[in-house]
Amino acid sequence: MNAVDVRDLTRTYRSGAEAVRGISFTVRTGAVFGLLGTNGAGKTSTMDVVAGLASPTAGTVRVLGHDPVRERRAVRPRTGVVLQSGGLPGELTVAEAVRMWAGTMRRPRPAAEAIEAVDLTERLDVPIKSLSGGERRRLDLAVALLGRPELLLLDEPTTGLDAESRRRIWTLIRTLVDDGTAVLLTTHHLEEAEELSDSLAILHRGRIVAEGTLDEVVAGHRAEIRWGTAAGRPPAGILDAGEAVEIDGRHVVVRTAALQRTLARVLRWAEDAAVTLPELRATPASLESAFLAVARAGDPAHTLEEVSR
Amino acid sequence: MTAVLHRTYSLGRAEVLLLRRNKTLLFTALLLPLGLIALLAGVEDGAPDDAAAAGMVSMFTGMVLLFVVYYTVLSASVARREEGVLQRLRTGEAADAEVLTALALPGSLVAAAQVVLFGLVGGAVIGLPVPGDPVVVLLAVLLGVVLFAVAGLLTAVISRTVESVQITSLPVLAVCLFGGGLVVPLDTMPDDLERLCGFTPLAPVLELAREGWLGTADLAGTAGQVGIVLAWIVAGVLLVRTSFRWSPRA
Repeated sequence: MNAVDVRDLTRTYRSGAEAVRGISFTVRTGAVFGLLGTNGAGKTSTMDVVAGLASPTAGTVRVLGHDPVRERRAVRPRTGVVLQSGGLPGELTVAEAVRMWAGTMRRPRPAAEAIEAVDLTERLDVPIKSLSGGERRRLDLAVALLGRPELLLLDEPTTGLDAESRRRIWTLIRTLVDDGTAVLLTTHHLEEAEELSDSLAILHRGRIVAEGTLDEVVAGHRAEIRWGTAAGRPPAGILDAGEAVEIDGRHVVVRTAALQRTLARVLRWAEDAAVTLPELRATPASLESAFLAVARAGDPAHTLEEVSR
Repeated sequence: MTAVLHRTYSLGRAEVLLLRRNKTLLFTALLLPLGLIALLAGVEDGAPDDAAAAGMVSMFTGMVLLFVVYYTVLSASVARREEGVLQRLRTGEAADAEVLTALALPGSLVAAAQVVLFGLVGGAVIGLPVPGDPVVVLLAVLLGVVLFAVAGLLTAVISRTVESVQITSLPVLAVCLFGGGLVVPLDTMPDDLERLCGFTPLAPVLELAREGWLGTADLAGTAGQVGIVLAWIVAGVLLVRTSFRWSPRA
């Protein structure tokens, strides 16, 4: 059984805005599914429905075999949720907040165990409002772990965190997945999606525009060879038909499906013509290039800064 | 049932902690009614007659329900919603009704404690008579607490921020202070207006409390007052169920 099954999900707000437009995906048991997208792509709207906080306008959602809205009682004890907004009272201390949550659960794990898992044991008596952003996110995660969930729903769990805090949370998530927990993760960090996701979907303006494993999503997107424009374009005949050459600011860019062969030809041409290729760089196809390609296809204004902010 | 109580208790205990740490709210909830007792003690010279005692009971009960129960529940609801706490709680095992009950718990406990304190201090210091029919007084306080907790939740629907509750609470405060006879005694109003005021939320609660305290409650009158309060409660609960906002508005 899949942990999450989403079929033809549509979510339209009262204003008429369509946040999610008929998307389908599954989250396998014991695996991480990453929902990647820019701000406003529909990630949180999707997450709200899966978490049972909102009803779908159309389509079906099953979480651990149940309807997350109508059968909340069956779903909630088996899921842990980290929302973007956090949602713990700032005036409570770490210990008080965890105790409060544990008190609402049928079979909570010991509070000390959850707090230790996120490395906050030293901060037990600190008010939540005095914690750093990274510590707050780890506390959010500790609360989500209290019920030993079979499914974790993580809505941008590392947004605004420094690199070290982010890595800590990634390690923790990976440990949980290794123990059999399924994870639905929304993120706009490409690195996070690459690091954690067993499979992923790129959401753009409410629609899934690419889906599969990392390799599957990246396959079909072109690698890139670039150098400074001072060396000029390669002569005709160097490249295969279908390989594109363009000027991107101060660089000549060659996009190719066969990186090694094309790079060898370019280097041979430079050697034979005694041309120096300044700032030469070869980049294999990546999630970044795949993401930018699909984002640009829908809206050329999307930039990498917006994606990975 | 035990699980429901356990969850509500756990959330309610956290709410009590939060009330203790909110100095402004704590001041309103504790010191205002205590100050009122001191004021009444200072004004009254000798044991009050029935009319004066009835006035004191009305004034105190009304103030406790409005400024302790209503205001605390309203402020707590908006604060928790804007912090995202209510939305997050909805992802947990506690049912909606348990979360909302927990929000009302601190204000209700403080209100109950203050009514008891009023009875004790009123008897010892002001010479207030002992409640003639304590069951009716208890019923009035209980119904009043539920009604004004529901009113607090309902007002939270139209309150965008914690600061804005000072404005959004005004209509309820005005209707209840005026309709309950706390600003102008009801028996000095024209008959039609007095009759109309009898249907405002606070008026039947105060009437019950007054008659219970003085031991003048009769079955028909009590049933009528209880009916009006229950109608307000049912209407309020239905509105809360359909319109309460769980996610932040601001």
